[in-house]
Amino acid sequence: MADQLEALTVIFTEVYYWITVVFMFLIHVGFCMYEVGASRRKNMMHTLMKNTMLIPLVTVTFFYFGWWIYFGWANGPFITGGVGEAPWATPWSPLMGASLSDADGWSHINGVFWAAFLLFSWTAASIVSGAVIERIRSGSFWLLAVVIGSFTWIIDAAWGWSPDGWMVQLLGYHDAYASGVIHAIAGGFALGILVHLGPRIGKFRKDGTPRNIVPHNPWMVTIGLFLIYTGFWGFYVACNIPIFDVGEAAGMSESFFSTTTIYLTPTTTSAITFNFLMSLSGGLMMGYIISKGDAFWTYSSGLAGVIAASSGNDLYHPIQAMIIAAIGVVFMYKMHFWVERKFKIDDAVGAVAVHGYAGFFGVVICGFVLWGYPASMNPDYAHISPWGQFIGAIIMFFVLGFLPAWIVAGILKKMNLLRIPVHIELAGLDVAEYYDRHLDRADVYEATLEDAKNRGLIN
Amino acid sequence: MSTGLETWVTNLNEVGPLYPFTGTEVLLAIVGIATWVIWHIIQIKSEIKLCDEEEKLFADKANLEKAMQRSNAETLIEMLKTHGKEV
Repeated sequence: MADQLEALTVIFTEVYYWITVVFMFLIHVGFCMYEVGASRRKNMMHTLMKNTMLIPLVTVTFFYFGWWIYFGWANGPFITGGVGEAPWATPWSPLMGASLSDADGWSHINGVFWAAFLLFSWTAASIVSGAVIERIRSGSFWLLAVVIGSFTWIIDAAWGWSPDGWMVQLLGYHDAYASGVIHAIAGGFALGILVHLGPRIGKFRKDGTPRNIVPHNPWMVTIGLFLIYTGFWGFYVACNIPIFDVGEAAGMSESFFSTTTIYLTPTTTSAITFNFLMSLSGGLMMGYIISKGDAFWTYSSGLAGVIAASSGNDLYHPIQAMIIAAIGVVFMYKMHFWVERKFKIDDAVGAVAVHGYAGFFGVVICGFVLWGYPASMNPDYAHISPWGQFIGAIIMFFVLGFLPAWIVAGILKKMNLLRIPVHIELAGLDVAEYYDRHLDRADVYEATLEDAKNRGLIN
Repeated sequence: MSTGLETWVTNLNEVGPLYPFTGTEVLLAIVGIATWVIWHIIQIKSEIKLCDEEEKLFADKANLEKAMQRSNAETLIEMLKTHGKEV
């Protein structure tokens, strides 16, 4: 880059996305802590490894094909056009590595932009991971993690989370901070697995009422959720383009530089900071009231509140964001317990509710509150509407979330690969895989006891 | 022998890829994808084997009962009791 201003813009953008990626890493740390804390002692290591190993598997597959799908499938394909050209996103492209080869700065942006999307992929898979703890086989989960992390979520991003996706063009779909494209799809995906996987042994009484399987470490759960909040800041700013000239698209004769959403529509980082905090607050306040001060549900409601307002948090007034968050939390909380009792769904961490139902609600409510707003800078594209958002929410939760998971999990179940054998589930997944550690622990204790006796310190 | 870049004293606009062995990208992609698929096959086979072994171990009612007691022990003292140690 020979032009200093261009270089400054490009390299600022490069560093901007890099920082979002580091922040978003905390989402994964938080999910690991949350899940391990929520599991029982006998399943801790299995739970940790299940979530950890999705990182490399989703990463490599997102490199091989996920990134290309985002650019290649924006038209469906074959809904508004054919397969798109995306030579910079194929795994054999020189731009998918160290390169100085282009003039417009894409060699600087490609890797960090890829990584920002990749961290969304981890998040989607990690949301699913929590719902299925303590009984899914790791191998099956990792295959399912690749399906959502490198395939279905990035299809929904191509369709509804890009400036020219067919859902944006035809439905006026608007989902600036991913209520639907990450949260609703992940919640729906988790539900699709849970239908086949079944509840943990002991979850339901004979009369069908649920038992509370108590987290072994509530502190880990709460700190995990705090870390997810922290990482969510990175997630929010990663959804934006930091500097973009929207003047030409707006029909202005001069440049107008702004932060934009992924749709290239203008917003500001200040706006989303107001709305993130106000929707978090709305969620926490309502969660505390509705759960009667239960820590697990209050924390989860903070997250659900942000998710419920995320579709329109680029444009809402902060108090609107707070109210929407609070209403979304009531919907999420009621739905969780209704589905649990009615269908005997054992969602171990409430992931389907916090992400799925709150995300679905967030997409739909945005259609009413932002009714008539342009979804794009292109005046020929559809405007935001309740029906466009409702169809969009169905596509996210059911078509790309629930359905693929239900099909793949069903196949894995038929192959007897989905669930841990009953003997191992009863004994504990760690006891099965780390049996020797228990013997070692007893052995070391006996040795120290013997030593203390020899020293005359105890009888 | 050179694997790629030989000098920085050149027109940087024309350098292009910086990594060694340019031209092998398709082969690298094939190797990478194959590695991913093979990893899943190895992992799933090994998990099936482990599950089968543990199922056999815990098919013995006494073994399963002991394992359940141990896995539900919250403290070392509780666990030692499951080993028949009075502490």
